[in-house]
Amino acid sequence: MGLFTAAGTLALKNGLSPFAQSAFADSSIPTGLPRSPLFGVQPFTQPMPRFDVLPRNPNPFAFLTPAPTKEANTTQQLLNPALEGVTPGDTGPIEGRPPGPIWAHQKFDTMPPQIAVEVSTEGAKVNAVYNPQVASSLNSGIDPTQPFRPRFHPSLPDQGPSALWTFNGTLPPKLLVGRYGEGILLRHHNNLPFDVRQNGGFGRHTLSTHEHNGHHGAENDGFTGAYFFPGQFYDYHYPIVLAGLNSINTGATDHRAGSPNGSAGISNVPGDWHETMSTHWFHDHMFSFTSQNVYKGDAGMFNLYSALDRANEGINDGVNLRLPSGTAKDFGNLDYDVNLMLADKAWDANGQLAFDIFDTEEGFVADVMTVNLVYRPFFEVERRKYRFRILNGAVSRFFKISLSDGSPMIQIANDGNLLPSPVVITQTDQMGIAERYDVVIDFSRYSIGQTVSMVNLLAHENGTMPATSLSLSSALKGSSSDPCVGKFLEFRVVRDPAQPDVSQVPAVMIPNPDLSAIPVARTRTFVFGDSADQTTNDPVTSFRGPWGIGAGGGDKLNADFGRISAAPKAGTREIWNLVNDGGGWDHPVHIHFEEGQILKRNGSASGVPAWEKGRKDVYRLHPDGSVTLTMQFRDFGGMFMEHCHNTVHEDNAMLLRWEIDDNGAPFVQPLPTPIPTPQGVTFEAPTQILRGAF
Amino acid sequence: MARRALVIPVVLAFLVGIAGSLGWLSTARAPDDRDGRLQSDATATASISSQPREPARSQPPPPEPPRPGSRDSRVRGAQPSLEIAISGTVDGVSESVHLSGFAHVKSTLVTDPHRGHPPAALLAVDLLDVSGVGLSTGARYVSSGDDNLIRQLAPSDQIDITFPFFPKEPGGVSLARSAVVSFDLSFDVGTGQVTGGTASLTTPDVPR
Repeated sequence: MGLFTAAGTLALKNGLSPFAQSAFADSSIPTGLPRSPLFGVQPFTQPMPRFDVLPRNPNPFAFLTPAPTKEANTTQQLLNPALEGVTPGDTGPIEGRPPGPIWAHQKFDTMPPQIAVEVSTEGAKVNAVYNPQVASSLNSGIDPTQPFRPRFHPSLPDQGPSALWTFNGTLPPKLLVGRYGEGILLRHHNNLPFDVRQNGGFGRHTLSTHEHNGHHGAENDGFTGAYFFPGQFYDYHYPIVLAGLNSINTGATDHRAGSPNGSAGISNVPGDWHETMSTHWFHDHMFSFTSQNVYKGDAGMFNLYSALDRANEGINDGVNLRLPSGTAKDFGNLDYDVNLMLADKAWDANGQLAFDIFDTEEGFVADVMTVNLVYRPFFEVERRKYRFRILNGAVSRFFKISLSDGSPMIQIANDGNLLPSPVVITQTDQMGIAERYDVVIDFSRYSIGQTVSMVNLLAHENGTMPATSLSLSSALKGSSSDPCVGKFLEFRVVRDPAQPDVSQVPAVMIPNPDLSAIPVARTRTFVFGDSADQTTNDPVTSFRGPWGIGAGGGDKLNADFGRISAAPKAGTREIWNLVNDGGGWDHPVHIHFEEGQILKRNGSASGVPAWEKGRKDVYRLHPDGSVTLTMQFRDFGGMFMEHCHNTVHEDNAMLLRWEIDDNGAPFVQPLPTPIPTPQGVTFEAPTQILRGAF
Repeated sequence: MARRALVIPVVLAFLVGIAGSLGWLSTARAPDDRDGRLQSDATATASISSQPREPARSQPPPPEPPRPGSRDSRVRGAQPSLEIAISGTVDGVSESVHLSGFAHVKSTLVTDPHRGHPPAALLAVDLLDVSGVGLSTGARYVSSGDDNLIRQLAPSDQIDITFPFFPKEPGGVSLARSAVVSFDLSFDVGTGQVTGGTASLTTPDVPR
């Protein structure tokens, strides 16, 4: 088999690269590709860039042109004939959101957006407006006024516009910041090439952006079949609300359910404060192309601030948890609150990003470790506590992270949700794709001039699941055949903090919502495995692949976003059993929309580790393992997804659609399926409704 | 990571008995009853230690027959928990701490013959029963150690796990330190079960 490189050339795979390094000559990593040439670059010779904070603009209705609308803006524009299915003279809507009331922004009238953020996905280019929102001294000396080039290291080649597709076309990756009660209108422009073939060998030019794991209406969820084309935009409305806002604390009287008010106070918001979320990310969710597009760079992170977790460690109001962050701003201090996006990458002989599109089964594992999309960097720290929001942004790789001296870290959050209580760890659990672990590291234990590194302890031999957990000493010896094992981020302790560290890690953070009084309306079981069947053949919504999900006791089925596999009633709570029916793979399963609580692992409540006892949105299914969870379906309606977040598995075709469609008008039962075209989105009846879905 | 081997021989509490009969327990679930599978898996987790963590079942149900079209790729056996005694002293600048207790080790066999991947063992190691006493202050210490590992299956394996411990007092987590426990484990490569083991403690070279 071969591979496509970002240069669009076909190369034979495995072992033919003149740049292959002997140390890993017998390695199967990267899967399906020759080893990535490093051009003599050594690790830990470049600073790690902090995320690039997206500009926030007040009053979206004045800032954005055209102004955002509740229903999709169907103003016509002349289409580029390079788009597939377009003939000269064709017109189509300027917004790719499906039209009509079902896909209108929910709560748009009662909770209109207050902040506009405008982004575009486009090919790589130089960043002349990098804004890390921290001083250069807190960004390892990086001067943000200097052009930031699209490359993984200063001594590696620039990525070309067909190799790397990112938000705004630039590096570092983007950080969206928001606070509860202050809705954001994210206008996402698709500025990718009109010609679908201009992709450097991999990646699809249609997009659908998932805010993972936003509690929003389905029209803003990045549904896999609600994609939009080059030349269009899509308005995503993130009202940033606490789950339960229609039924709990509706009068907004509980100050724990609150948001920073800009002057060290709290603006109360409705909803359940136990549902407060903190660390999200956003990424492409294009049907059958998520792995390629996310790998190509279409991913960012999203910090949500609240009265409990406002990222100001100095405000002592009895609500603020005062986690490591800073004090200069009322909320959202990033000084000591650091986003880390981990991802393995591979590139071709020209240094251009490469991907094995021919592996439709096991998963893609690359050979170069990146943090914030640069190769094995260093990061300068002060002698104090830091919070790290760690995202596994890989395609198929799991990570297990330790410090190089084995010293403790404190895990405070899992999947963006602060835990009920912090957990002291010396290494993380196996961190599945899309999982987020927030940890606090106290560098005051070190002396100025010392270094300590983050180390990956988990080796892959293929993309199905991790192959071996290494001890710290083994990982540091460099004896693994997996080049991504070992140190990947070096902390350099450079000074004492100018201000005292007043941050805390409270013994109690956010207890779980009490669901004991909420009856269980339904129990469903979903079986994840291979050898799946396809029962439909819609040319747009249906896909065939080795993977599938069985629902309601039926056979495992390939993905079809026109098929309804489950339809919980609005306002209810259900128990979902996720079952892995095979021993050769590990599936990190993501359920969109609302956070769940794991009740049991492998049928045992005692099998749930401490770091999984909070709320979650990704549930790792160990080989032949099971997870029993409970979640609610409330506040919004529409169609959502459940899928494996090993995105190669997801794309081939371990994904299903579920929906909440009895939430009152305009939702009908069942919901029609959107069929996007450049000329506009049409609708068709569901291709299949599984027995027992409703 | 340089670290100084300290001590501690260990003991081991275990095993046998029903081990051989448990080889197919994880597949020992009622055919055509996936909802029931969870319960089956739970009750299948038997203990061969002196302190069972899960209720044992007396007779495993027969293995599930292969499903047409399904690949022979599965985990065999939600395995019993092996208890291994841990005892030793971990040095530190603040004070040395004597730690003792038990590690609970559970192994599950993973096979994937369809893809030719070698068999592996999923290990769940629970150190929550490990506690300690400060040799200078007499302060109580507790540990916080769960770990999940995957290892290529072999008759014997050495596994080092770093785990934290900290004073059992308010704010104690901020004073957390770490220790390394080294296990020498033996496996039944046919069933994937861990059949025996010893453990020793060492002090990692952690800056203070």
